[in-house]
Order: sequence, then structure tokens, then C-alpha cells
Amino acid sequence: MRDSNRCAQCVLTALLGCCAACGDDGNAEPPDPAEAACVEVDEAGHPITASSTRDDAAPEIEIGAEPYAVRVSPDDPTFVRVEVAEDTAALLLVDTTDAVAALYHGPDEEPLESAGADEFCPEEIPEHFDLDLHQPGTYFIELGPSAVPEVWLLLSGAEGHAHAH
Amino acid sequence: MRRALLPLLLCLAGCTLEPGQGFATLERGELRAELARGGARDLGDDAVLTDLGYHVRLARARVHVGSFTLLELLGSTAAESSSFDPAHPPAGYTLCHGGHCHAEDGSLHSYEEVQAALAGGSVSFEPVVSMEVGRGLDLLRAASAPLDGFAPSAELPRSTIDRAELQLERLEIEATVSEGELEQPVELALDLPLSERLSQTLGRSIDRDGKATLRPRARLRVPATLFDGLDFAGLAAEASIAIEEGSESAGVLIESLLGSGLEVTL
Repeated sequence: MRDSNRCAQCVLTALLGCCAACGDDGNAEPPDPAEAACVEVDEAGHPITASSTRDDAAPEIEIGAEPYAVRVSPDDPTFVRVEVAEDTAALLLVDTTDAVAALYHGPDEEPLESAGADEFCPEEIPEHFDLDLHQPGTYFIELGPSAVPEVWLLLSGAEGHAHAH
Repeated sequence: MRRALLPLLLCLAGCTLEPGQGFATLERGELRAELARGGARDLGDDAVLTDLGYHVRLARARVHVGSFTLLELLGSTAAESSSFDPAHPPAGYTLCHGGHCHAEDGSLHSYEEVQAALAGGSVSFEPVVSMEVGRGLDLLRAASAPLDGFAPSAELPRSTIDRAELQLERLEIEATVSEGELEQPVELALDLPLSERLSQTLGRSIDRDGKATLRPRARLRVPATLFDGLDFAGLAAEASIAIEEGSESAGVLIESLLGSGLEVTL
């Protein structure tokens, strides 16, 4: 009887330990996408060429997908496109400062302000933007004329991202 | 007994009459100003690319700074206004940056005005200490100026430094502009008086638990996008471009200048 009690105690302890571990995992905060981007910045990025027009001809970049190596113009603004199905908070990370010029929802320009360097790897990702894509539909990111021919960028979901403003 | 007490009383009176030592003491610091290089607009050799495809090769770029001030937010409902976050503009404003917010009607309001409005107009930023700068800083050479001459005193009272503020007085530019819609290079010269302020939120407590001495350091980084939005071909007359005070172009330039980064440490 005593042995069976001990056995039950062991099983109970193991179960509690297991549940506690499960509980920890359940409460764990998602990793900051700005930190994860510091690993991805070593990837070359999927090559695309930004469009000279702000319309469906602009190549789509997907949230949470791989990074992109975007070919831009030395003379004119160019555009990439983001399709959003619902209210979305995203993080746009860029390897070159001053490359991103504006954000549009359809024909309307939206507020856009640099949130500064990625605090986890400021040298590799010197600029990022917190994008509040509230309305479903098509957004366009304008890339200004650039002295560098190619810009690396990554669009992540913003869940888990926090920094002091 | 009275004779014994008299020196003690005089001593205590003397102590209270002496200038009091603050909760922290400021030491001589430094303000540095520079053109932010290295990004997508950097053409090298002090030249920048604008959003309209112009090349602006700078021969002179100076910003004149009047003063650097540390301020405290005072008022009965400071807690309400402290919820103000420029990254998330309050209702009625579309964008907050560089110390000011753009209202939906197109007007500009300083952070102070926005915070005061949020708190029902009952709060204000009051200077704790100010440092006279009074000189032009060469942006091309990352020039620096000392931060000293503390007024009213280098001894700081118990307070919270909520904000640092840089008073801008003038912007001087001499450059050659080419490319874009220009058929030939033209000279750009401007000397714009300014009354704008750049600010950074700090939230630094000054008390006995903090450092006894503080050295203010400020770094002003003027963006390489300074000339964005200016259609130089439309502004050029013969072989030169003049941007006059109060003109629309001056407004565009000042707006870009207000996008400068200000980093302050104490």
C-alpha cells in the first residue's frame, strides 16, 4: 500500500512538473521579430524589381515571408505592394537608411515615420518602420531614388515587437 | 547657556544662507551636429540625392543653435498628458515627429501644446536649466560646441527632466544642384532664419539616488533627405536658386529639417 502511495506520488509530481512546463511554454512571449530579423539579414533576399508605377504592376511583398532584395531606381521613386486582408500591424526592416520614402493605402498617403535602427543589430538594419495597416486592401511602399542599386527589406508581423519611442 | 547657543545658531543660519548644493551637478557637455551620411541618398563627396532625382553637392551647410534646454513637465494632471506617445498620435493628429504634430486640419502643434491639450491645458514644460550655444555648427564636418554656461545654475533641483530641447536659429546652405529636371548645374544659396525647436523625451529623475554629476551630450543628425520635395528646376532663375524666408519652399525645407534626429544623454 505504501509502495502504491509512493508510486502515485511520483506520478502526480511528474504530471505537475509536466503541466508547469506546459504552462511556461503557454505563457512565453513570442520572440521580437526585430531580433529574428538580425539572423535573416544575412540572407540575400528574394530578388524583385520595384515598379515605376503605383499600381498592380508593383511586385507584391508578403508579411512574414522571406526577405527581399529590391532593385530600385537611381532617378525616380519606385513601388512595392502589400496586400492586407484585415487590420494588421507589421514591421518593415531595411538595410539602408532613407530608402523608404512613403506609404500609400490605395491612392491615399498614410503617415510614416522611421522608428530608427533595429536595436538588436543597428549596423545591419539601420532603419525600421512600425506599419499600422488598419484597412483591408492594397498598400504601396514608395522607395525613393537611391544611390545604392538594391535594398534589402523584410516585412514581419509586429507581434512581440516593442521598443521605447 | 545663551552664549553657548549663539555660535550654533549663527552657524545654522550661515548654512541656510549659503548657495545650496543641488541634487545633481551638471558638468560641461557637448553638442555635435552633422549631416547623416551613408544611406540611400548619399552620393559621396558631400552630395545627396533628392526624392525628385536632383543631386545637391554641398559646399556649406551650417545650422545655428541658440540654446539647449532641459525641461520638466509641471501641472496637476501631468499623468494624463504623459500618456502622449509621438509614435501613436492622439485623435485629431495624423503624425507627430521632430517635436511637433500635424493636426488633421493641416496646422502644426508642438508636443507641449498637444500634451497641454490632452491634459485640459493645465500642464506646461518649464525650464530646469538652459545652456547658451549661440553659434553655427558645420554639418559637413560634424562640428561640436560646448554645453556649459548653465543658467540659472549647474546645481539641479530635485526634479524630473522630461524633455531636452534645441532652439534652432538659422540654416545656411551653399550648394550646386544638378540632374533631375535641370539642364545644367545651378547654384543654391540660402540663409533662413529659424524659430523652431527640436526636442527629445527623456524622463530622467534628479534625486539623491541618481548620479551626483551629469554631463549633457546632444547629437543632432540632419537627414540626407533635407532637400526632398524641392523642385529645383521650377525654382531656378538663370544660373541660381534662391529660397526666400516665408516661401513655400522654405516651409518644405524647414519641415525636413525638423525631421532631424536629436539624441540626448545625461
